[in-house]
Amino acid sequence: MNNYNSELKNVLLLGLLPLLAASKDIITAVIISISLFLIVLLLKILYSYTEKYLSVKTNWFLMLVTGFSLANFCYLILPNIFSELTGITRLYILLLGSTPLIYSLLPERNSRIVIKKLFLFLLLILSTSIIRELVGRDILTVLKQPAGGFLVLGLVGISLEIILTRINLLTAHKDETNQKKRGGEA
Amino acid sequence: MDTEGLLFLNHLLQENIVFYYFLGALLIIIKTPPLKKSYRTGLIFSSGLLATGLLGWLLNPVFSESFTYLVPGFYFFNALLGLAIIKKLGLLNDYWLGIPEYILALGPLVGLQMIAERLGQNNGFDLVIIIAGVSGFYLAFLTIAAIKEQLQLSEAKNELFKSEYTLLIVMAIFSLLLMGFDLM
Repeated sequence: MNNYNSELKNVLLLGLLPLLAASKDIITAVIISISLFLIVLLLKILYSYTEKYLSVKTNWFLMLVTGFSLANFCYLILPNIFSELTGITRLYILLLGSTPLIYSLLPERNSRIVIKKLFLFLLLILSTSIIRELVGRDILTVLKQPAGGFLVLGLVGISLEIILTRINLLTAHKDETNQKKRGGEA
Repeated sequence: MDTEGLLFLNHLLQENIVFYYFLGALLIIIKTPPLKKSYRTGLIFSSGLLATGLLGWLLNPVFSESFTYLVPGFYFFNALLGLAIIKKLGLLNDYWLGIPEYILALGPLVGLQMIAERLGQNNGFDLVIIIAGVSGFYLAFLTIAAIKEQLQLSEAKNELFKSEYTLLIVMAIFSLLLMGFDLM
């Protein structure tokens, strides 16, 4: 059975800072997500080589320095291309280098789990930013404020948790029925 | 009240680093022990933040004038001092979900310095913002520790109401409350 629920909570917690800060509008959310994915990809390539030769402590330190350097590169380049990333939002590009989600994916050998976690992150950030942008534009302007980030992310998390619990229950029920059928045939 | 007093109160309440800039929100959600122990734990985290901020304040003029592009790197290495203090005092030495716990504290340690630089008066690294940020972090740490304890003690049958999602909604209400202090 796929345990999406605990993974959803883990992804939400590990990526909390970008999920709260970058979900102000859809464009920022997309740009920050793409930057995060690129940093993960590059760090994973590097990690696959360095883990064989370096001690665990040194390797983590190297990953942090490289992660921060990549985030710094994005911090210097991206605001020149996208005008949305000015002001305080720019700060969060640099802080991508300290996002625990990136580092938690590095030791993971199963690429399906990595893709699943990145997909859950994308799902969370896009749903939060779409609600904040669409509802926060005219009706509830408070959703554009930091309080809106906490509120919408909490509500999106609860909703997805309930939906995924239902999916898990359905999958478990299907598996059980199939097993019973096979048992009957045998 | 003078400008610096207002700036301090503004960054302590309305622009609190946890409830306004989201820095350290994860650290607080994960690492808050029961309220009785959180006075000490909060002080340890705050001392790490303060040490990093003070070093940033002392060295920032040198770096920002000569090596502008290296400033974020300087903040990162500065944050390592704060981490060293926190680890020396017995926290963040384990692993959490497969990563070293000290990574959780990097965000607030680097972010506070960047906010102090960006929002400081006359574009300078502002010590008042650092002190207000550290005090605001301690305030948030104690508040969330108390709320988390209450959530765990609640009689709600559904575990969802005791989870981190509910804590996020409580933090939203707290953030709304702090928005009411319009000081600047």
